Amino acid sequence: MAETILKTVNLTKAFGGLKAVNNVTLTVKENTITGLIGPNGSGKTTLFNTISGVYKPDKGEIYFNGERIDGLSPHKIYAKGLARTFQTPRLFQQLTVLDNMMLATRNHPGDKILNVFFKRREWGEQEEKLAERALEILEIVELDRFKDTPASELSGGQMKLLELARVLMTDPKMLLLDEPAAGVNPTLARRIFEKITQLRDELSLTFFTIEHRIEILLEHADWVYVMHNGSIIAEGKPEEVVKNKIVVDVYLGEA
Amino acid sequence: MREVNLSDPLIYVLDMAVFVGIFSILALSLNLEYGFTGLANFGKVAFFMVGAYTSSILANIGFSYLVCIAVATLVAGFVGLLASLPALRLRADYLAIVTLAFGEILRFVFKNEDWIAGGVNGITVPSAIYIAGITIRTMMLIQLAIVYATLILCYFIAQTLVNSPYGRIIRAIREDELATQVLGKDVFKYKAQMFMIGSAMAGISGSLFSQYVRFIDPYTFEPILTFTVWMMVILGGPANNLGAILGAVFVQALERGARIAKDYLLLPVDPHNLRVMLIGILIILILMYRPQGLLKESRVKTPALEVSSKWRKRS
Repeated sequence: MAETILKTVNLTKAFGGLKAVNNVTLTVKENTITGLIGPNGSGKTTLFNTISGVYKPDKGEIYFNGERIDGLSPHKIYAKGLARTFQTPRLFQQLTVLDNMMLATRNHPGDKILNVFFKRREWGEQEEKLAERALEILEIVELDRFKDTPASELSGGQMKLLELARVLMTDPKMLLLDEPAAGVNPTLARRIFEKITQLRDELSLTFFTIEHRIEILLEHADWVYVMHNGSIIAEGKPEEVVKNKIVVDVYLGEA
Repeated sequence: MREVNLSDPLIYVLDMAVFVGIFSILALSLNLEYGFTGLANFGKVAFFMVGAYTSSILANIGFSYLVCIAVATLVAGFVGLLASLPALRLRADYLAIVTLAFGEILRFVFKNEDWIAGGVNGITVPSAIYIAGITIRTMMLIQLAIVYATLILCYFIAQTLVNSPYGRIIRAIREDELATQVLGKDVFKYKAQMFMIGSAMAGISGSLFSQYVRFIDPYTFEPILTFTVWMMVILGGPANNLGAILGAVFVQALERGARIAKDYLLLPVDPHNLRVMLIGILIILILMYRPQGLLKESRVKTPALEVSSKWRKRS
């Protein structure tokens, strides 16, 4: 039986009178792909922002790996191994794919100005290790042949993959993905999710992902939460959720 | 500017070479700030001026050349750091305005405060390398050696910085400041450090300049000097150190060339005005047809590149 990696208890976040996230209690099991669906404006991204520390919750608790993380700064949550991507990728356009990857490392000795001059060997060795690792991750997402290409020359889908790959550089345990397949064609969307499934299996990662395409979740997700007006209205295996009467009413519509 | 002996054409060449060296150092410093880090420093002349005045004042007290250069570098770097602390918190376009104003304010201080360095009357600088009986030509050769040794040192520092993980971060800041921050980098610290290094380099350059021309006054440091350096960087290629030097050679060749033309040739137009027009046309052409400059941005060269070049797609 899989362990719980992320748990929220009665999580609430309001903007003025609007409760964007209302009393949300959910759990994400380790080594799963857990989906989050819901109509636009139902609070999905706010929930992600609250979990990742961008917003402080008004009420409730968040546990990651059994440790309480609500109220911590995004930087600290990131350091604990809970990373996230954004709806629109923020890449360094003029820099190569490899350089984009290499920027996502923490505590690199060569990041300090004096070390650049006086500890050349130390950071040089670190660079080699990191480059090796970056290339391996790029290979998984099939971007290694673009390693020397400026990020600006990638297609939209490749940019999404690069952002996913970049966040993997920091060796996270769990990833919050905000619509990893938004704005890409169905074939590539499917490929992105195939990669996510592969990463779950090969690197034992946990994914919590916002996604609108129910057919993709049916195929790849282990568990799905449905959000509406800030609350979780349903959860279950994806094939159960699509049959749920309330979900069909508020989100999916009659087929 | 100093009078040169018209009977010795070699002096012109040496004179040009010295100026190319001095301005190459300035161009390198702006390239670090603007080309790599994206900091629009329109007050470059201020730090050049601080270096020149510091060096001149110390030389008049009687300190040796080496001490003058070293202290001028430190003072300019320190002033750069002080100026950067408030200025770098501003958005890029405001940074440009603030640095531009900073240069002018400083110039007015030197102009109006007579006790610092003679105000509008300027200050003469005793030569550090003059020995009785030395020829102008020998003196210039010594100057040339000092200037180029310094240029090589500055080039080495700039190259080491940009070809390192540090250099990758400053380029990332230029591309997307927020994304760099999200990846856990202290963006402000990097910008302040680059501003300080750029200012210190401008200080070295100013010190060499004052020792070479041997007389400076506030009119030497008008804002146009900043723009001359910008032209060098834009022409040569931002984010390419060799490009910055190439730009300095190019612009100085036009500038000094116009002087030589004026002394030796009879033209229907004043070569100085012709030069201004030529530079204007050149900038327009470059921006239209080769916006990346003569040399394009250099890659971050670290051991990672070697690992990458050996990478084969495993099947």
